[in-house]
Amino acid sequence: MQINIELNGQETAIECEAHETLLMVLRREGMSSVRFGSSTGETGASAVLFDDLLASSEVILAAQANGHSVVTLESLNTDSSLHPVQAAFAATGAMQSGYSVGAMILGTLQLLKETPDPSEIEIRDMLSGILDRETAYVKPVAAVKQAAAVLRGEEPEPFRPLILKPMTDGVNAVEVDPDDSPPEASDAIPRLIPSSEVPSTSVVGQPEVKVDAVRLVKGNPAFTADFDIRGLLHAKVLRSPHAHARITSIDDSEALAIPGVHAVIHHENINRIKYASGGQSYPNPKPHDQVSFDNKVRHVGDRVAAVAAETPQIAEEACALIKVEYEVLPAVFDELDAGNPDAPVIHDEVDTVDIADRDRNLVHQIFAERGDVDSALQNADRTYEQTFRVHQVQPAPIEPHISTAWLDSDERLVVRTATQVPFHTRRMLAPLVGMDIKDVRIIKPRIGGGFGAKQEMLIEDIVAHLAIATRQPVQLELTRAEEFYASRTRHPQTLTYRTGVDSEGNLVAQELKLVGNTGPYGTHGYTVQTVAGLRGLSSYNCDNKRFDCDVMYTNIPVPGAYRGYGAPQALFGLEAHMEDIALDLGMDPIEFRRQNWVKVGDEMNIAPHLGEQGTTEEELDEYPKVMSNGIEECVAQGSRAIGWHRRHDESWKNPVDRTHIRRGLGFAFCMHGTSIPFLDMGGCSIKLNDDGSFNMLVGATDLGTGADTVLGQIAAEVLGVPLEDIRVYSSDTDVTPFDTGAYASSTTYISGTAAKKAADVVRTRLKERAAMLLDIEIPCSIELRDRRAWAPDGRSVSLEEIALDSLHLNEQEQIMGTGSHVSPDCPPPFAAQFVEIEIDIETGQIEIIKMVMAVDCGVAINPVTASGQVEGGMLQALGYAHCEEIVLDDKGAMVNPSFGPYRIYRADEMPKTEVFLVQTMEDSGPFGAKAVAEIPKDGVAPAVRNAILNATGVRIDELPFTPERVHRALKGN
Amino acid sequence: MTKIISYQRPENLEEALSLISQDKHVPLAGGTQLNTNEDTEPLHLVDLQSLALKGIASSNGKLKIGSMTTLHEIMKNSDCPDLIRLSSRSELPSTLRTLATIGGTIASGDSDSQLIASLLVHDAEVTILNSSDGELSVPLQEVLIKPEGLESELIISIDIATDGKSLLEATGRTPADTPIVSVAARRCSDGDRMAVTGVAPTPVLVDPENPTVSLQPPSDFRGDSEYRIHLVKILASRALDLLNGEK
Ligand SMILES: Cc1cc2nc3c(=O)[nH]c(=O)nc-3n(C[C@H](O)[C@H](O)[C@H](O)COP(=O)(O)OP(=O)(O)OC[C@H]3O[C@@H](n4cnc5c(N)ncnc54)[C@H](O)[C@@H]3O)c2cc1C
Ligand code: FES
Repeated sequence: MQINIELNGQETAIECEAHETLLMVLRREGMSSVRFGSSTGETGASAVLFDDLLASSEVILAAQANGHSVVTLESLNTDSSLHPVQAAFAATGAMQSGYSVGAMILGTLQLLKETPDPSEIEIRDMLSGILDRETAYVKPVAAVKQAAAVLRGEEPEPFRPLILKPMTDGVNAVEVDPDDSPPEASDAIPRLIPSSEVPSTSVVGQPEVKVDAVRLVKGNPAFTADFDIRGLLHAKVLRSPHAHARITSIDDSEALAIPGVHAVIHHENINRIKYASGGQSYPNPKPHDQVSFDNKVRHVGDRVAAVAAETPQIAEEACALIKVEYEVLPAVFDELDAGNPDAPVIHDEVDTVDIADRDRNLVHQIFAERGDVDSALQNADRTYEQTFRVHQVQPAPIEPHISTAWLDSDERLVVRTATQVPFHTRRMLAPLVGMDIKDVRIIKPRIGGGFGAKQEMLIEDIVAHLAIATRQPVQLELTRAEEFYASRTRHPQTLTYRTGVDSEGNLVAQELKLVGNTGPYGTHGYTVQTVAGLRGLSSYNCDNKRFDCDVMYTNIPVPGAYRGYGAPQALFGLEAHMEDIALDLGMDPIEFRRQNWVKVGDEMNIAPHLGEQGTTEEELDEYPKVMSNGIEECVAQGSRAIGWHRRHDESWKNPVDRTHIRRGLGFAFCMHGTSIPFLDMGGCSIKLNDDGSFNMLVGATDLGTGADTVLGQIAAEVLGVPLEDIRVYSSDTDVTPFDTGAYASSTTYISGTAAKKAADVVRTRLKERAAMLLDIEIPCSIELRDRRAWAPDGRSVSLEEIALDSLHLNEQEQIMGTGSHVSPDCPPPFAAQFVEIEIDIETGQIEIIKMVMAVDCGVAINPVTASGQVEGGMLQALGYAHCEEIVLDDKGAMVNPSFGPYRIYRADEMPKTEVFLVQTMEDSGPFGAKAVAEIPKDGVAPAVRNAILNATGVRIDELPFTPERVHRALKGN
Repeated sequence: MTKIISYQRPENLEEALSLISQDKHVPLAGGTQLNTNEDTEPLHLVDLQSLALKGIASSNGKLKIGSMTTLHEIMKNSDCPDLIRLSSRSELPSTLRTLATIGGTIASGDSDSQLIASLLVHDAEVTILNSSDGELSVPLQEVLIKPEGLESELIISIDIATDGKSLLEATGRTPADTPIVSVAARRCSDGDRMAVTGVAPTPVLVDPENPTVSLQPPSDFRGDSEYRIHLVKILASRALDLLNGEK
């Protein structure tokens, strides 16, 4: 049929079919700003102005839109300039990946047309239909306010951090005066507490606008789905309806007979090659217990077959016509049941090796001990034992997994894919498709969020097999439901802490016994639990420590990497446990922690024993030490901001006018890591262009995190140019240097140091060439600043002059440099997490009123993007604590695989948040930087738990804190 | 995505009625539910957008809301009682409530619908059109319990009372979550009404004095039957306290 719509002001006739949605036809018309987030409209990534109102275009049929007007973000892109709303979103750091920014900008346009000076409630209501996992809506709200001011003709305040005076000397605790209130500023403004040890810089440390801002605020083609390829086929995956079954027969003849179907692949026609899908360094941790298609399925949603067809609908129809017979096997879901004698053996195939005890579904046993925990516990004044259970959640990036594969003109395999690990994917994919690494190329465009789910070779092998089978390009985009139960999730665990304390309140022994649930496959199963042990036993000084862990196979949807990577689980247990010990000892919970937490110069005595590639039992001669720690300043700033003194104020805690409400405050001490020592490696190359600008190639993968911007700032600082003179490109295995990828909080620290090294090489050569031009003997006396090279006598040449000279005129050469970096260190960032809650003691409903995180991430290279990481991290952490959960029925099928039933926080219900960036100088990092990306995932759950305890005296040691669970706890069962 | 065989947009009610009386033909309103339901049989869609069923008008102390009026339009309309406006907003987020209609909401009869509960306490009467009886006015609660659904019938409009004081109390996982249980209550000259979500296949009217009588709520992961009964008791008593001006 033909429809006529007024598209961005133009009468447009479009051919479409009855089942097609407005989203489909808009994308076909080239409107790349309108993006897929789910098929039920609740992510809002597809929202357009439909008859001037914001509406999700994937729930509107194209036919319904006939005769209506549709406005997309493209309507603003009439020339190279930015509309004031676009400019405000760029200036305030309101987008990280920018996947849904089109919808936000359109909503803002509409809101401001009706309401030039909207209230915060109105802004948040407008944003309520656009889900965001990255910004926590904090900076988008600021962007709308700024845009409103500009459109009203006012001059907006420049968006800069609020500089605060330190409250401490950086080492010693201070008493916070209850009457001392922190300076007022919008939530979106990062509070920056500078350190005198940090040298001044001109690009580093500045709130620079993201280097990809224009591309994102204009909705230009940027993401995997935005690139059209002629002859593209669409793939769909047939997934298992059973949690555990053997495939006894598979018949694809009817599926193949449908017109438009080009290939069907399954275990009978794809080679059986073992691998582990986690995107990790060579050699991938064992066991290698997966194959592309198996004759057995091990969870509901496991792969059975895949189809490539001319449209997604045909592919789906074909999937339904594949006849599969199953021998259904018993299944097991709980990690504590998986080792029982009556539990089914999940990996009974002979070709999976390196399973610790196959018959008990025990994948790994991990053990590390320092000192002698048993005798220390025996001699301790008091001992405590406490068990915690944590559940399964999904990272839920708004862009689902998507990959496109094709054979290029040299018949090499190219995969453009939403991945955090392009280089690992290339190495892991090549053997599965029988090609050499040199014949595989992985391109990572912009990514709409990953958070660990994309640290995985999840679907690249499927599109690669299909592209090879059909010799046509093939794309696979997961549905939202598949994203929930067929991608990757956080590991459920049962954690038992045992701690011994002496008469003065010092820890003398600490043990963490952990049973980890790695689901049907071991991917990340070893390393997530290892990190849980590492993080769970690193925060506090103690000579006797032990980690004792069993990792179990079960039939739940596959756990894998998720931002935090074992730490959120471990720190939930640890920080609850420490709170309870303090209260039992009659000590102030922060004072008790302070007495024990690691300080500058203290050894990190368990870290080297729990590595990615295995544990060691041998004592080392030397242990890594903490070299920077801003926790005292974090605690001081955070307690002032939350009003920590109120935790004992009974009249505040029991409001007289609301008798069913109790109030409470909670705290958690957080310590994370920065990169994997001796393993994470990043490379960078920089070359000089004719005009004195630079191209910078990095293998590091910006997922919306702002990595490209931060790495560019580091290079710009070294080269004495503004950020706009550095053109950053990431990442493409044919073009950019190697990088392990975006995980383990490593990019700024590792890839940033690589960028600094590459820039240093270029700088040295620039100075030498400048010395030639200025006729100076000693090149190192030259300084680079303001796009020029300066001699000590005040003369200078521009970088452009150096470039023209070196490329065209004299002793021609390409000035370029490369750098790569691997670190022996893993300097921990530290943070103080505070929350304020209200709890309805009659219903069990809790409301989070405010979250404050004060974090020592060394020097924040970009305070705006760094605070954005903290805000988004806290939103995800709050979901973990409060409302997100994957719920399975007794057959292992997910009950709630859509947003809504799987509850993630919306703009109109977020608590207030405040972020404090406490500077310290970490000498091992580029310009003093440590990591910031993962630590905000660690403290919210224990802080909320401790706030419930503060409010009601009730301890809840299981997540999440849903009303029914809290209600039961309050009732005492 | 729903499997769709055909799409039609009738220009008048007779045409619409005759179309929906055919096999597998269903009315399409906003489409937020119909266009996203993956579990249905392939359907013929009969789009109601050209039938002039939109609009809100007062007539003899009541408010008549056309069935194709969107939740966004209700939320913005100052003639509507505050509770109806508020629950139109809470029902769906900004990007969906501009599409979803009051007629579609009633026809889907979602157990968790705060808007339906609010309409129930506002004595909603639904005007329905079918080819045998013509137009008839039916109390909302009777439309909701029709086991066979609205086969071959069209919701034309909804009449609600606007007097009295009404409010809604709810418990959800987060502040804007679809409530596990919510209780809408209204007091006017002839007494109190109360309606509850999350305890039956559709929202139901209950006795304000005895709100849990004969309720047998289903259990799910957000709350088991017993917890839901507990919530009804608590929320109902809070609602009455608020109507009494206590607290
Ligand atoms: C992400 C998401 C979240 C949702 N959350 C909620 C929620 O929290 N609470 C809730 O109650 N619902 C929820 N829904 C369901 C749905 O959005 C609502 O029921 C909505 O109000 C339906 O209105 P509509 O106009 O879009 O109806 P449509 O989808 O067009 O139609 C719904 C049904 O009503 C019938 N129908 C529509 N109009 C008429 C009419 N005039 N006469 C006769 N039959 C008619 C249709 O044939 C169809 O069976 C949600 C849906 C989505 C996509
Ligand atoms: S080091 Fe060679 S000139 Fe300075």
